[in-house]
Amino acid sequence: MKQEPIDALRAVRLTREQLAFQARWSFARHASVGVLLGVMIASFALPDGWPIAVVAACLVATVLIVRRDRQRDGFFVSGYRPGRTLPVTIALLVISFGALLAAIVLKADKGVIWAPIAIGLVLAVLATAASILWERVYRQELMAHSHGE
Amino acid sequence: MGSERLDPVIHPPARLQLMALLIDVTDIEYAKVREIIAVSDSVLSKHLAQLGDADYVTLRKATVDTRQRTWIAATAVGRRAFCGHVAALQALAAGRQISED
Repeated sequence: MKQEPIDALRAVRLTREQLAFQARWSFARHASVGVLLGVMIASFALPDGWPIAVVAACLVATVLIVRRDRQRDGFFVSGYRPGRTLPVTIALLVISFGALLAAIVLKADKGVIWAPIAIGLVLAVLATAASILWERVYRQELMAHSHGE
Repeated sequence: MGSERLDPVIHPPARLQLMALLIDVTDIEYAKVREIIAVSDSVLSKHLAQLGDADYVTLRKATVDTRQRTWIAATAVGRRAFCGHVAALQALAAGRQISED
């Protein structure tokens, strides 16, 4: 009687493990997240008008990256999905907004013109690392013995 | 995790595997699903139609490089049903009774 649910749970686990095996993204893909976020922040070092254009270009690039993910992988996983990856996403969002505020304040109020570029560089590294961490946490979640564990 | 409830729509092994795959992605292409759960086109289509009738999945057609592809996503209703079904399976595997409602 208990064997059927055990077999069913095993099938679920094996399916998720197969997805975990395929959920691997290159360093370049992770770095693209860092570069896009970093460039958006660094653009605030440019004269008025340019940051909006750069941010718009980054948003277009994001759409193209998502499209390429779908073509290459045959599936897409949103960074905002619920689960164990969400704290990583939220931490990156908080850091990014902090970086944006710091870049604007340091340039506009303190006159440190190069601050957005320095902050953008640091954010690029942090966001790349966060993206790599996100992938690891995602795979660990898929490899957990059963859903919801 | 949702309430423990065995779901007859998800119960067949292929549909259980299909939902297990959909639950952790935003969407996934038809061919990729076929590759991972190793079923024929006709079997996959039949199971998708049944999951679609229960409002557990949505299908979206998109043309990529002149080829039309079908993308499959689990709905919120389907996600809840899957979590409840897995919770019920876990309860049964642990030797616990589940309520029948």
